Amino acid sequence: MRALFISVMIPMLMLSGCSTVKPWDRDLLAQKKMQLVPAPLDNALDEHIFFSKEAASGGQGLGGGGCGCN
Amino acid sequence: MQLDERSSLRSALAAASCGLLGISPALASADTPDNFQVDSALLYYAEKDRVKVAEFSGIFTQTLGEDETISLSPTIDSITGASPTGATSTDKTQTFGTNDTTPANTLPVKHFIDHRFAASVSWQRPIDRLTKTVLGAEGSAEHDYTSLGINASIARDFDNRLTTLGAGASADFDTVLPASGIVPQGLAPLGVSTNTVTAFSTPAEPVFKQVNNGVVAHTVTSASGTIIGGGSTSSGGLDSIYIPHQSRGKEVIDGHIGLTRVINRRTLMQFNYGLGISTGYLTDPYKIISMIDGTSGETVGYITEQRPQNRLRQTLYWETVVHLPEDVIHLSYRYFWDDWGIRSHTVDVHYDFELGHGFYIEPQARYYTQTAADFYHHSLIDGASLPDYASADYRLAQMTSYTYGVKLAMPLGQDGELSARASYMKQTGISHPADAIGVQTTQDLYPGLRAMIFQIGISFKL
Repeated sequence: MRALFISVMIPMLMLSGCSTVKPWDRDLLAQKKMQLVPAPLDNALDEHIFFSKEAASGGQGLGGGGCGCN
Repeated sequence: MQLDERSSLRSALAAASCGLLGISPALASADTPDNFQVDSALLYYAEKDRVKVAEFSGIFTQTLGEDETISLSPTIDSITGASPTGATSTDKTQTFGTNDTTPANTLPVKHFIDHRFAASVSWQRPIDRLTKTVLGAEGSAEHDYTSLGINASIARDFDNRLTTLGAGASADFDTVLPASGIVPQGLAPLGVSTNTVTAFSTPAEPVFKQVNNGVVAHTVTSASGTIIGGGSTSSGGLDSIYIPHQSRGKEVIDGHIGLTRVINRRTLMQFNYGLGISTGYLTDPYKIISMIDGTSGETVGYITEQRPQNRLRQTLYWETVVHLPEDVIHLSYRYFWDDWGIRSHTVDVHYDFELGHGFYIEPQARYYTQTAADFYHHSLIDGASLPDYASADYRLAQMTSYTYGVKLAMPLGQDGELSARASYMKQTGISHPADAIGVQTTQDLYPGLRAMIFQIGISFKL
């Protein structure tokens, strides 16, 4: 529960006072390279390698797993 | 000047309309019905003296409507080479079974060849103007491992689409089928006949075990060298004993919640919390542990490894994307912890350096560190009482890993991209631990890893 609080509530509180960005000011944010994962295939290949060579995994969301490599 | 203003007005209007239609400004690409997007890559992964992997992977996405897509992602792997067995190097030749020896002062490895076929399908659709869902399924098959999984996630925009809250869950059902057909007993010594072959006398799935031609009295040995039984040869050198191909199940449930927030016109930020539970057979059936003499440090035998049947994993993840005047920087941090005693920090940065006309060069760097699992032992002392769980898998040891890479990309047609990527990964651990005994102090007890990764990618819209 503490981790939940830290991960969601504190950022919410921190960010709630941020200035608003009007829709017509979102031209930069709309670019593909501004996506959180701009290259999903690169990301999936990397995550698979790290999953098979390290003990930790996950974080970004769903994905990974399903492999006898670890 | 007037043209610039008009152009900037046009892009602002486009962005505004995307904002009205899309869930997140970051996802507001120009998807229209009947678009078919192809992303594909060939990857070659080569460890120094160890594993080599050639892989094809793709994501094929069909746009079905506004914000609705269905995508199929196939992956084909071919894996060859050798993987550390868990046994440590020593100053004498080591023997692990028939025709399986490792010279002195050399890391024992097991050679293998495998192929993996995997595919996932994902259907993204909007529920309403502010909410979208993603439903998915995946499957993966190797000759000694299969996995089937389903997943679902939902994301909803708030606060004039400046904030997105998301949540998701997945369930994977895996089956481990050791290549030998036998799931080794955990923490059992190698080279000692357990004479348990009668346990396999009524097989559901009979297989023959090849033994040496002409040998009448023999043993049946698992891939890791464990002698699991014996019998007499009927004729032609084939074992007269039927052994069912054994398997064990493993279930993996994951869930996450996340918050994505537009900070300002140039900055996006995400926070995620993830929770995962793994249950079932989490042991690696191929890994073993060296048993050493408590005084001399010489290896006197080997046992199979055994891990707990449960694992609770948690992650905190933070990522920010910042649009600099021309370039874009992605920076992320992950903290991972589990109930096996592993704590891990990961920092990842990508810098998209714009070269103009759609060309860019992207340096990438990643730092990873982890503590060892509570039950990790580079070796165990012969004669001492065995722990409940033990593994000498280097991936559960304390380690630090650095990955450096660079990607070059050029535009291909209107919406396509051609790219090449090269990365170098280096893992280091504790080669000379404080608890090394005798001859072990002269050996490298951590099999460090160095790997090169090459990738070419092509993406386009049809």
